[in-house]
Amino acid sequence: MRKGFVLISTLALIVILSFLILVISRLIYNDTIKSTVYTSSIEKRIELINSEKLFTNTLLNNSELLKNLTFAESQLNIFANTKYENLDIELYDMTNCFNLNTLVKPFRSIYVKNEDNGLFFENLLLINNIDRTKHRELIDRLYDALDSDRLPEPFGAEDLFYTTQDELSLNPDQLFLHKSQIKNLAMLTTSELEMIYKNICALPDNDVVFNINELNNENYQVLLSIYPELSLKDIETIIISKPIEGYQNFSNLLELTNITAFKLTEDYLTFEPKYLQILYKVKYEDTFFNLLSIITLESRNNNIIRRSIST
Amino acid sequence: MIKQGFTLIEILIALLAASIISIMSFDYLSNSVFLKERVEQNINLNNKHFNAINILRLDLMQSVPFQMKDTTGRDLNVSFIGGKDDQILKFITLNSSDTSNSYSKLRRVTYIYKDNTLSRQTTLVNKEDKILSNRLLLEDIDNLEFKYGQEPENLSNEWPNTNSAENMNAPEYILMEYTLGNNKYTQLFSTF
Repeated sequence: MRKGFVLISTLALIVILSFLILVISRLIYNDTIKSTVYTSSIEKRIELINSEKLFTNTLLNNSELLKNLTFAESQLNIFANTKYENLDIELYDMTNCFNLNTLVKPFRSIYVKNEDNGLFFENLLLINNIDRTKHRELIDRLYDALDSDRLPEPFGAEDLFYTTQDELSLNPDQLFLHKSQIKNLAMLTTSELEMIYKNICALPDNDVVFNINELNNENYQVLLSIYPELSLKDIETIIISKPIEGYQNFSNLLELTNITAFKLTEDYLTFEPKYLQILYKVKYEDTFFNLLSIITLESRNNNIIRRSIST
Repeated sequence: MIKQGFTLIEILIALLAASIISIMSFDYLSNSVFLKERVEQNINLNNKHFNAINILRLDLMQSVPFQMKDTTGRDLNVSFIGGKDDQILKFITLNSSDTSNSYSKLRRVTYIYKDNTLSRQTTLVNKEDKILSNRLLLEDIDNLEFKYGQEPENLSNEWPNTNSAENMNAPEYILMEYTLGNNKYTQLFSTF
């Protein structure tokens, strides 16, 4: 009994000391891991940037795949996973958002307002139930912020206003680089902004275009703003009638949907994405890291529009 | 008569055993504590250093070709300024973590090297006096030099270095050389 006590107390001491050493070792390990994960995430993103050319060229070389982006995405993931095991790529068509820069058009060496596209944007505001009294003022402010003439719109204001507003940080006379720049105009409330935010974007382009093969329940409002004669039934028909390989051209679209050319014209339609958002999700040490690239598919060189580390 | 308690010999044996184990493990335990402190110290130093480099790398990764204006609203016709006085880098970047409802996500980032410290300041794109954040990145950094250029073999101390239209954009390569804690470092960045 007494000998047992001596043995137990000695063993207990060994266990306590071992436990202490284990705890300290664990702390050292955790500190080391924490510091390397962040650094590695940056390195992995840079590695992805270096491989991005390969991914975009693969897409461009197989442009037929782009008529069905879901299919293109799965093919690209199969290809990418041969090089990166823990990488997941998501593709989003950026063609189907309302590009705010289409509110101006090039005229000689400057940009002037584009009233036709202004009407489309007004339609989008109407569809989203944005306060009607704000439409004219918002559009005029957008014209004045984007155009490079010196003519103030009736409800807008030219550069002097934009540069003297202390609390605003406006960039008169150049195209928007990010859709969040609409916030600088201080016109829409948070809830109004939320309503249209998912359907607007800022791309270096002045032409309105919509990829009919990527029409869905999230972007149909943009199509409705360009073609206000279309009904929700027509939208449904276009989505349901789409073949797996996508609509090939305008006549194929009319033939398969029976929509009259009066409602839908070829002018603003495309059958492949013009701009893509590529979202890379990398898993490292049980944590996901994102890299987001917006690219144009119209050229092979310098096709990056911008990059971001989060969505 | 019932014998109670321990004999002196038993207690001495128990104390002896405990002492031997304590002495043996003390050395190991103190080494572990010392190692933990050293690792923490190194990690903190490296973290600060690499965090500063990574912050710059991320800013450049998210930079956008925004033509800047000065405080009076005059066009500067450049989207990247390098090596002017103590403001060693100045460009516009997309602040992805910013969820402000009042301002866009674009920020003017200025890296300042003054009194052997490197700091990062963010302002609104065309309102340099509206400071949104100011962060000290590195202290006791010596001999900091930046070089800029479109080719790694042809770098200059300032950007833009000529009046050609090509240089209105950001430089493709940015070389950073500095001394920190008696170690000399060289970093090559790209605006991708």
